[in-house]
Amino acid sequence: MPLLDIRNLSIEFDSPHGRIRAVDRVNLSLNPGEILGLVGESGSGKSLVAKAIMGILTDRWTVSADRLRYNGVDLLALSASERRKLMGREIAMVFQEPSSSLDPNDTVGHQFNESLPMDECDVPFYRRKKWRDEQIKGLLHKVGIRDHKRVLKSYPHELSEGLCQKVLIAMTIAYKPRLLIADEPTTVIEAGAQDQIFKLFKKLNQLNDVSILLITHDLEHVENWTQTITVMYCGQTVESGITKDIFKQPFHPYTMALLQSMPHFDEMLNHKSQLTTLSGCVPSLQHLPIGCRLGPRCPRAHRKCVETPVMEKSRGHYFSCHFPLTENIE
Amino acid sequence: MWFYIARRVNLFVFTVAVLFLLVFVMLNALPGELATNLSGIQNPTMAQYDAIVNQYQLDKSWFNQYISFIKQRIHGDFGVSFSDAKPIYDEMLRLLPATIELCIYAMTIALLLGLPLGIIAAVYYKKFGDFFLLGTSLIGYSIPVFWLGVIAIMYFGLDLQWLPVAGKLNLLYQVEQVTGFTLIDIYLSDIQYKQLAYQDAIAHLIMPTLTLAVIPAAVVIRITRTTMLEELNANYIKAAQARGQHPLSVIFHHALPNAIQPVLSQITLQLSTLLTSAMVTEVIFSWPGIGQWLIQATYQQNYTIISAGVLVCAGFVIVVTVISDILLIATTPRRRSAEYGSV
Repeated sequence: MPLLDIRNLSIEFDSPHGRIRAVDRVNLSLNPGEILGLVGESGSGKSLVAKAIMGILTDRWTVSADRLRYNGVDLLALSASERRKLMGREIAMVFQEPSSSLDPNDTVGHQFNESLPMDECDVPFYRRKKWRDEQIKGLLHKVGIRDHKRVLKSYPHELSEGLCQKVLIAMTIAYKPRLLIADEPTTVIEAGAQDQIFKLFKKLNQLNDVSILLITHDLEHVENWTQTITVMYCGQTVESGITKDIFKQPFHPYTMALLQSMPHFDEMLNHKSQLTTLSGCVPSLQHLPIGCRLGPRCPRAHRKCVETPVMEKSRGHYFSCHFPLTENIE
Repeated sequence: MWFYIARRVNLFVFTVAVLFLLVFVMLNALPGELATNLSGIQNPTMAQYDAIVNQYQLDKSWFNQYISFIKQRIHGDFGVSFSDAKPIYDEMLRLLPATIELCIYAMTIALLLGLPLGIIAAVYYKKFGDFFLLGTSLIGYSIPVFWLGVIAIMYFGLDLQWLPVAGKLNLLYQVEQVTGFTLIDIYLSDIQYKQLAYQDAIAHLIMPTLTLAVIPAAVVIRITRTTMLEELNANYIKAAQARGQHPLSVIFHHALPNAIQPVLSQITLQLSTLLTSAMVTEVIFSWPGIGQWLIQATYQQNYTIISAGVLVCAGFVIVVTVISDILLIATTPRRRSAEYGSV
């Protein structure tokens, strides 16, 4: 049974132009112990999906789904307090822009104290402080922060983004979650620290058996660190499957375009030559095309594309396209 | 941090200098002899006139006059009143605490009422509670102080006869003025019926304080609501929620401490409005404070009192602004470090 099972998740909001469906029937499934990459351009609704799983979307969003299950528990049916028990303990989330995910008015140490699992604490109250300090020290060492004393005393603005992200990861693993949702964890982090964070995720995945939903737009990271990926475009899932297969033979034209947009320097690019991209740009939410949302930009689009394609399966590889790349169209 | 304080103090000195310059120019421009306008002595004798000329260096250039004007005022010599030739400085010391007392109580009530209500409005954003509080605060903000005061006197003072309509304390209680704050003075005095005196003082305080507190309370509700909404949508709140923290803990440990700083800085800006409405309130409730004294002086064209009042009220606002600015910086970690300390 998949750990996270999402079927036809839609996220909508009411705008002056009527109800807009920002995320349209997204499917996602994550097996225990797996690292799943959720890939797409900015604005394709990746973060919305993550926030919907965590239940932290603001009131103006309406979430509906045929299935939104974590380990057999229907996340949409949970009450606020039941959800709180699950959040942080079972499912944890790491955000983009780590320094803004920490309270700017409070020291890192103080905030860390709040996210410790106090119900696991079995020492009498007069030794609690020491227990806390030891826990924090252990967690910080685990994520690779050596000078924990300085970090705990600092305010978030005094730390680099990479350090902040490591602190946040240390906070989230305090409860030993089974699922970690990482929402573009490295976009604002300097290049050197990016690999450290990914190595950390890998380590957590292998040693603590944490399943990771890695949301990113960086295909290189996806290729190196994930086992399966799901590609989103404009709020629709276009393709999902095992990373290696998809990189070898994508079925959907959008995935193909994404892969082609990665410059391969071994292929002898001409000096000042254009990199391949799809023509046009991502449509705004007010002007979403009907049917397959890639339609207007798709090189293989036909009349039939005004109907939303149904998810098709071929050897563990899902895609939603009427004219997949493996078929010839005459 | 120290650099920032130095900059603020520097700014303070220059603002006060400009304030003095404005008052000095005003005294020059007013009709009548400059010597009389500065010192307040009507029809001075030859000897008095020479003394005034010497004191304010009226025979020197205007810059010397300006400097000696500042010197006299800083040393507490504000001249004498046009009407009764009493030294203004003593009069001011007697009246200023009464006004400050009224302002402090009104501000406290405004904060005690406005902060929780503002938080409630933000938490129930776009629900009934929010609309209700927004509407109420809009009404409160729009009611003119003078009208509200008169209506309160008519209803609670005259119709129901619950509260006294004027003054600070019943004449029955002979309380000697030490600090100028009625409640503290009663505590310090050795009169017989202290309990009754307290009751009487508080009964006198209720109406003016509440009348004065209405506008600041409405402002505090609105500002608290806006800043709380901003903070509640911030990333660190989402992160705290995602970690499964209790919503009350999220609001009071993270959102409120961050929201309260802009609220406090905005409230300092409201201080001048508060002082203005305090003057009106004092006139309505015959509260023996600086506002009533100033408004009477305006009727009498009592130039020395007016200039002294302008100096003191504006100076008070500037001092409080600078202090609250420095306090705000000292409590905001992000801005405490030197590179953010510059204006």
